[in-house]
Amino acid sequence: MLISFHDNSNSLYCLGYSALMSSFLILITASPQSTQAHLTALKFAQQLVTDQIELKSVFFYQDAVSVALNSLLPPSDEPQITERWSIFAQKNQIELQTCVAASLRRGLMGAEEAKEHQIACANLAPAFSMAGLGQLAAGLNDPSVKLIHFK
Amino acid sequence: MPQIINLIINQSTFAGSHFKESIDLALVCAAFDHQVNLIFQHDGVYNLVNSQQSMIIGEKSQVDLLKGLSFYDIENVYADIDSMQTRSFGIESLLIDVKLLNASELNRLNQQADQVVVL
Repeated sequence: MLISFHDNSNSLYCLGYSALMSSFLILITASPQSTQAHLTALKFAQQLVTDQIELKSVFFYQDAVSVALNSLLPPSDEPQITERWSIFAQKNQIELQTCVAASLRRGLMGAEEAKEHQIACANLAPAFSMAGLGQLAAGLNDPSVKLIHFK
Repeated sequence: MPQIINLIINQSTFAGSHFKESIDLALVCAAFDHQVNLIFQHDGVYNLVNSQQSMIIGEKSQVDLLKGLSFYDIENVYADIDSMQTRSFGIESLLIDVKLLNASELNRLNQQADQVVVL
């Protein structure tokens, strides 16, 4: 089932079915530094909110988890992606979930994981939470949920 | 309510943790009773080749991971026949039994799925 969207008229059209009865789950797997995926996903997420279409959560997997680091310091004239996700999530009460296995593999951890593995510093940005892949799989149990993947 | 989830792997092996993480997602979805179709396409078919010698670069073998798929309820494993042919290997070169599909059969499989994720 193909999903495509246009935002030139500030509204979302989904080919083949009505978006009105659906909700979305966003999956991102791409690095925030080397791809445009996060910026596009942010734009899409914001449009869902504007159009009052439910966004269940945003799930970060593989290289995308690094966006949840509290230590990313891009130059001030470049997009502040972590900050933008944080502001979006807090304003709209949307969960930002990073896969715990992918995170640990890449050196990202919350306070609990840091304590468990005796690592000096937790580095998970406050707006993000650690989650298992099971939460993504469970989110798909709802047949009205459409998964959209940015890579 | 379980859904039909097509997971397409189109990157070759040893590209970091990509393969392992893709399989992890398949395993977890199957554990949550979703019907998982695992599809190897383009460079992803290299993951299936039986002549891999990962110990040479200090990597764990992918054989066990692939052979364990059916044990974890992933029964439907497909490979794109065109991708294999353009890379010059046939079904006898594969580590596990897969169903070979051509482009239009794959297209149909994707049309029938509730979700399609390309990893």
